[in-house]
Amino acid sequence: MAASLGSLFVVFGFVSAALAAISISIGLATDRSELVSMSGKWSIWTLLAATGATVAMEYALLADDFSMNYVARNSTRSLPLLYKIAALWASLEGSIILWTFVLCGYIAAVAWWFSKRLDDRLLGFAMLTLFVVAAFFFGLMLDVASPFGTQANPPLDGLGPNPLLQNHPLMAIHPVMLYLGYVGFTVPFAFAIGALATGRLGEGWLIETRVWTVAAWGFLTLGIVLGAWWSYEVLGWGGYWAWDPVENVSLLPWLTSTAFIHSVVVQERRGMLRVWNLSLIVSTFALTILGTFVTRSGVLESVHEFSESEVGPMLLGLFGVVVGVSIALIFWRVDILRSTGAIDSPVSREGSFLGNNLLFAGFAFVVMLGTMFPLLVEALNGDQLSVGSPYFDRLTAPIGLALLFLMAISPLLSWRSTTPDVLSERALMPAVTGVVVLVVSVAAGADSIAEMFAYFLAGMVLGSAGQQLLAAVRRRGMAGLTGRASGGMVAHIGLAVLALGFVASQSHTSEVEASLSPGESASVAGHKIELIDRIDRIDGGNPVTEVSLVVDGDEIHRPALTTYINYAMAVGTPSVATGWSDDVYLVVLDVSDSGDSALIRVIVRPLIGWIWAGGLIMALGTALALTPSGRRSKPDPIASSENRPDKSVTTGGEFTGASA
Amino acid sequence: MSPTARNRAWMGVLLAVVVVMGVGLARADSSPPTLSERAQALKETTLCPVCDGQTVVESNVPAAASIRALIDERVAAGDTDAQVREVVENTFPGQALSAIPPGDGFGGLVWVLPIVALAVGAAALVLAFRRWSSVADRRATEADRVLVAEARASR
Repeated sequence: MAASLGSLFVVFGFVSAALAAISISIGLATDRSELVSMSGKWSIWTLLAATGATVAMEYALLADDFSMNYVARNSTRSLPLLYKIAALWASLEGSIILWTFVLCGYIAAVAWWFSKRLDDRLLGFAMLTLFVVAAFFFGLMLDVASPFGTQANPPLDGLGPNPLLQNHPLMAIHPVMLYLGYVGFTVPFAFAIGALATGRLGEGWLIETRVWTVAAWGFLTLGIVLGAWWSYEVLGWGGYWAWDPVENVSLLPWLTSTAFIHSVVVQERRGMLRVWNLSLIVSTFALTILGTFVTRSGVLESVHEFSESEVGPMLLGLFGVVVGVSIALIFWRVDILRSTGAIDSPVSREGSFLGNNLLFAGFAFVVMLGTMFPLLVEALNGDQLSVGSPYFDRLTAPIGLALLFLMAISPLLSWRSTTPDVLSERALMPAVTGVVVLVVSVAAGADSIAEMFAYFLAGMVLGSAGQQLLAAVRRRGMAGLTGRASGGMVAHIGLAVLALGFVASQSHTSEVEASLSPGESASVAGHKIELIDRIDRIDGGNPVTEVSLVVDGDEIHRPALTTYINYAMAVGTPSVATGWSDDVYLVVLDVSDSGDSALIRVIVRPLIGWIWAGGLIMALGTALALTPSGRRSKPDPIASSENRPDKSVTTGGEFTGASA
Repeated sequence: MSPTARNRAWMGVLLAVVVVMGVGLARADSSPPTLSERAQALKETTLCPVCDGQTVVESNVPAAASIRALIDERVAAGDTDAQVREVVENTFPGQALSAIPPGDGFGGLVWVLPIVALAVGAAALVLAFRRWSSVADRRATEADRVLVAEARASR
């Protein structure tokens, strides 16, 4: 029942997305605006179809309908409710349902947001692009990634999701955030295509899509940080980022979109960097598709890889089309895109944004090259070669430090140019903040030069962002915290906090493996861990051994080791004593002793919690940036002549603070 | 703040940074790495042969555990780092178990290309700034004034 309904919704979705694309194309080709403006109605149909498919799958998961292959593979009767719901994205076909659902949600939201001007040709081309992408994903579900396949003789119980995906609630949030981010970049990409197709390549489309880009960026940021947090809480090795290919491909669109949200400001202000900005947004969207391809095709070895399937070549095809069409359009419009503007001085806000873009592009290049290089080498001369974390650490560390330096200085610079005198005045307090952070960290044990520079610069970032925020609050009260400029500064603070946590936790790790019996204790980096008892039980058919450990005499933690019978896999469930200054990470490694002892690994790393806190502050910054600041910026008369006169452009406010 | 006072404050900041970093560096452990530190460093740069890109530190599968034990054993027996790597590679022939790509040959490109790319990018940026700074006349032309006047009038 759910399966046939679900399949029906998929067909319905594909047909309506395809019809939408065709009718909008005809409307655009024959200048019939009534056809173009019908995109709003089509968006309701596609959203309805995607919602139907999602509900059908969730219903089947919740009702333990094992006649459906997907449910039989990815759920079991004993699975807790939350993980049954989350089983929608536990595997390939379900993730594509989620992707399509999110995409159709975005399409409907865009149609609603711009409902008064859907007959505009730029909007028409943007909606056309969105519907083509939607048709592609519905099409995947029609054939190569059909989620609603059934079997005649259903098993009594399903296999359940991969054990790693069923023991932490973050699994329910991290993929959804990541998808909201990934898919969200389809919107600015579609508008970029619209701008290229209509030749209205001024700043209009950038301003129109600013909210969407920033929101997608915020979701992606949160998705990546929550993913790191999940891997820390679940995977049992005490780390959170391993430069795994899938982590890398999720970082790539983040890097290009972060470059984009900075460099658009230069285009808005100065009308420059048009080709560059188009390239960045096209790259960001293309990289989300490439990332999905890498996850789903098995070309790269990774712990995230679900299955090898025919979806891979299709996604690679879409990637090729996206890149090819975009490059062709940019070449076609290259005359309009040329700008005559000039940047007066490198010591200016826009100058620092160019530096930021160079570094982010370099960072992305390192990550891309390191991820793809083994494939390249093997294809060219058959050699086996691995590129692991030491490579990424060594090359990205100097880029990261340079970015921290720019983050510290850039908010203090004025547009056009800044004299050394003014800069020295504005940078003094941030530098003092940097010194304070440096002193504290050296007192706490920092001892390598790169590490100390990182603390000093992160401290300066805190100082300069804090100084800007204080100035904004002084001028406008608490409302000063809203708007793009202040939201951006809050995001900077979040990133500085994250950087402090990242550097400290990477630089100082104490680790001990000990076999403990009840009453025995181990001591690691000033923390005392005592084993109280060990309990063996059966949970959902799987043997579980739970070990009670007391950390520093008061906090009881119960890390466990579960053997998943269906997967013949023992998965440790770590327990973490999170602290303000450090984390005590407890993993059960082995309980094969028949006695009551257990082999425990204890890892103590400083400031890990700051990474998650930093990520949440960045998300808060994004939300503040999206909150209208109540000020209206004056649109550039030349750029705004491209907007329709009936629509006044409200912006989130300009970058403020240091403007002289 | 007067310019002189500000310059003094900057001197203070600079001095503080140098002194504090000096203190941190002086305290750094300069003794040669212990056996367990060497073993840990080797484990962190050795990939587990069956677990898709994780190092043997990150993985708990038996193959990773056996490589960890092998590294401990060889380091304790007095092997150099290179010898330990060789023993590990020989135990799993045909697999690239070092997480660090080689610095020479074709594989060395992975180190060189990013540096070249960044250098080219930086040079392009410097050239662009040069060109921009030589744009002599940036005052509004008559055509610009007309454009602005039209835009104002149409509001």
